[in-house]
Amino acid sequence: MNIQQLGIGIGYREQFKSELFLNKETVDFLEIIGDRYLDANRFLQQELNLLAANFPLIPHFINLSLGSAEGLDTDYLTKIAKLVKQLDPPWWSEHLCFTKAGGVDIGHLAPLPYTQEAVDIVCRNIKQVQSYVDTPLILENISYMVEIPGAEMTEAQFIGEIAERTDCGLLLDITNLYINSTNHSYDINQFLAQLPLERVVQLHFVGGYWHDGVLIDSHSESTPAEIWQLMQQITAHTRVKGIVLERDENFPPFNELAIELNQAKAILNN
Amino acid sequence: MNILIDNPISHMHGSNFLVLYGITILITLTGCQFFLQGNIFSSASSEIPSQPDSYEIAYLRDGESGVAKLICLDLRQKALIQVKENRLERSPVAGDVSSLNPLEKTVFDWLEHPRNLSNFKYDYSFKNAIAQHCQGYHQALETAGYSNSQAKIYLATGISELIILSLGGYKLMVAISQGHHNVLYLIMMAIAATCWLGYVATPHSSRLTATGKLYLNNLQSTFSGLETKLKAPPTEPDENSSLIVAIGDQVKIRANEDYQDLINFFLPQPTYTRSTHTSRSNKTRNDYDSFSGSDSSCSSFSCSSSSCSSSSCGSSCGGGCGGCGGCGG
Repeated sequence: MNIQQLGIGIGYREQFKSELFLNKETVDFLEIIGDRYLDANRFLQQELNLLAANFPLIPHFINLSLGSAEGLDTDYLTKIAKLVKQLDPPWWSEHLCFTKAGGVDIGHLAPLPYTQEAVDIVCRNIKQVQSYVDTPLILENISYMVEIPGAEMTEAQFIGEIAERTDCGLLLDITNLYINSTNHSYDINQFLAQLPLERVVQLHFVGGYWHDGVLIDSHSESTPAEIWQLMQQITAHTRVKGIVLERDENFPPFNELAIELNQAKAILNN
Repeated sequence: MNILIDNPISHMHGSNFLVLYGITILITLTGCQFFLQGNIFSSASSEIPSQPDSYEIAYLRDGESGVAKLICLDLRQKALIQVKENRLERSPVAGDVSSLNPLEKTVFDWLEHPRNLSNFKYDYSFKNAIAQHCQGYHQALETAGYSNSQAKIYLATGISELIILSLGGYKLMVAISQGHHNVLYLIMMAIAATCWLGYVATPHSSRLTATGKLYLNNLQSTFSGLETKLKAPPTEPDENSSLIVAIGDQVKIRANEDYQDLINFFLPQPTYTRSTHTSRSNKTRNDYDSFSGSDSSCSSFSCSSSSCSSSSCGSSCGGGCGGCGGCGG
């Protein structure tokens, strides 16, 4: 895809705002949670302006519910279109999942059944999104605790077919990939072989923790060696445009985050 | 010469002229404010420097007194000065001062005799000495469009005053020459406009442009999250401490246990008492604001209050529900 390279970014969280600005040189761009600014009050609008004046911003949304069979919330979509237009980013992202069903917001990124019917629904919804927003949309793989029964294809084939049919890029969350492969015992290399890697635009990475024999996608730990290895493997095969550290909880001093960012930069530049 | 005594204004009825005069005053004052404030409707933010200069921020916020406060903190961190009996003075064990920069040297020299807070606030020769060293900051901030020069303030208010007094004075002379003495409202309007212009001309109200105020507000909201302890002497100056003092985060400064003597020197404990907690808190805040002499200090409070606006979106994507298996984001 013909998209400009941004480099290494971090998911913006207010908790490390001050230290982030004191370490601006370690970050090439910020990924912001777009939902936070959809109905922004004066202070949030000011914060958004401040971030936009200091960093390239990539909006990342969580509640569009691309997999909802009943269609998309057009009010929400209109707000997304307005925000994306305001920020004018090289791309924006959403999850390949559903968060609403039957008009009810389930408050969770829920996995879709890997069926042809689900592919058709998601593609229909994405086409609608693309009629509202010109900026390229990239789709993120999620982590999941349960596999929906009745799959007609693998997860990688599901993601790949949607990306091909809608001409979307991919946001490959390598932590989600590693967690799913661990919790559901599948082979990452087989997954990657079935994925159109040339469509991968951005990566997410962070660490989770073990609980009762299950690896939890908590976004709260430093990145483990297996995920660094996975990042090296993927960047060796395809030229990604951006890599984002997505830390949400248990924030360490910023210099520890900076070490991770620099490590990712070294991998991207090799 | 006939035009001077035979024109629409000289013939205008008193009440009609007062309306015209009021509109003229309003337009002139608004124009003056716009000239000094710049575009007050612009919300475009400026770039925050990756290595912010605490002295420059202190100068932007409070002028020379802000810089002087910061230098006192630096000197205190170097154990060169102390607070004794509500007076700031050189430490009896002050060590080597050869490495002090010119600004620090100026303050250190001034503290040859113990000084109290009113010396600090009203010693104009001291302020002028500091101001000389702050010329670079002043130039940089003015070039960036963050602050107005005194000349620009005088020019704007002078022209405005000239317009208001010329029109009012002319009509006053015409009225009196024609035997009309009901000119009280005219004089009152001219005095009110002059008072307003006098207020506009004060450094407090027009030193910073709207862009400068927004920039300062952004600096305060950006760096108010710094967790720091003012390090006890003898240590090297701590940049985070300097930044906190520079942006004037009064709450954080108050919360520091080290340097309470210096903090109490600059921020005397409010003596106000009220029965309700809410009103006491409000007054305390006002006390701090009025001491700081900056109308922007309130924004540090309002900005910190905005931290509560960290929406659920931020955490719901990844961490908040990690215990139940994460939400896949």
